Amino acid sequence: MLGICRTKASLTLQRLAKLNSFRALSSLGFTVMPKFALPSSNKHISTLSGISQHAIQRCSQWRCYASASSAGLSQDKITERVMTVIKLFEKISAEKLTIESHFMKELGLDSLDHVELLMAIEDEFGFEIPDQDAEKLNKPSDIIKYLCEKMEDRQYVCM
Amino acid sequence: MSASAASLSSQRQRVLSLYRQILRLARQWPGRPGVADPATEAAYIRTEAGTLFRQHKSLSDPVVIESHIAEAESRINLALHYNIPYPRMPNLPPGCLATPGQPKRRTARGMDDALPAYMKSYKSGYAPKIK
Repeated sequence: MLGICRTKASLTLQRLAKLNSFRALSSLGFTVMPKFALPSSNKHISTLSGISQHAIQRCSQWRCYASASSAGLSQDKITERVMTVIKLFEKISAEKLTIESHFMKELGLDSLDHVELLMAIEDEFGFEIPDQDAEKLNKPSDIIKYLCEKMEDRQYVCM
Repeated sequence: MSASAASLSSQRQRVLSLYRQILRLARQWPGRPGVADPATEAAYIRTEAGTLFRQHKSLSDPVVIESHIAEAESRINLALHYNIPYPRMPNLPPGCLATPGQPKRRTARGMDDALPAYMKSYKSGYAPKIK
């Protein structure tokens, strides 16, 4: 009986981790999880805040996932942000722009415009793109793939 | 042929990395508190770099390109040192400019000679067209 409760609760916790906000997780964790459900805990669980301390510790493993997807770092969100930045760049006409359109050959940018565009993307996502990577990013799809890889390196999830 | 092509592409990379360096400077330009607004100066840096780099983008002689790279590097270093992005006003030697009573034929050349190497883009025949 206890074992079933434990596994059920931990499964629910994993499902809850995929939700988009930590607040939902913690509030549901408070109602769903009985206090003996955490497999590794023997400590007294305080219920002062309504959330068990071990719920918080366990949730911190999943916290970065939850905040990453809520902060807009899934592949769709990255695509959306990249395309918005590119559309706002005034030297590109929005009609010819697709995900696979080449900046220099199809959209008519020169290399200086390319540098400016990558600076705009650096500003949007908040980190610097080194020179040797920058010269390979010639299409919006290249940029999206590169950003997903960079986000994975930093232990965010690209779903 | 391959040597000049290789030197052109490595020059091209140096030019683009210089442009990137200038844009990154503009992003976090401190300005001079009370004297100069960082946003205005950052906008100046971006337009000046954009104008000057685009003006010379179709050059092909590697020696000339090298002198322009040196010009860009000097201007970057001066701007970082003095915290002023604008070029320093040059001194004209006395007797260089024509006066109403005394026409001079070598005025343009005198002014060009007075401009230092980091103002190469401002010499006669090169006046940047600011849009």
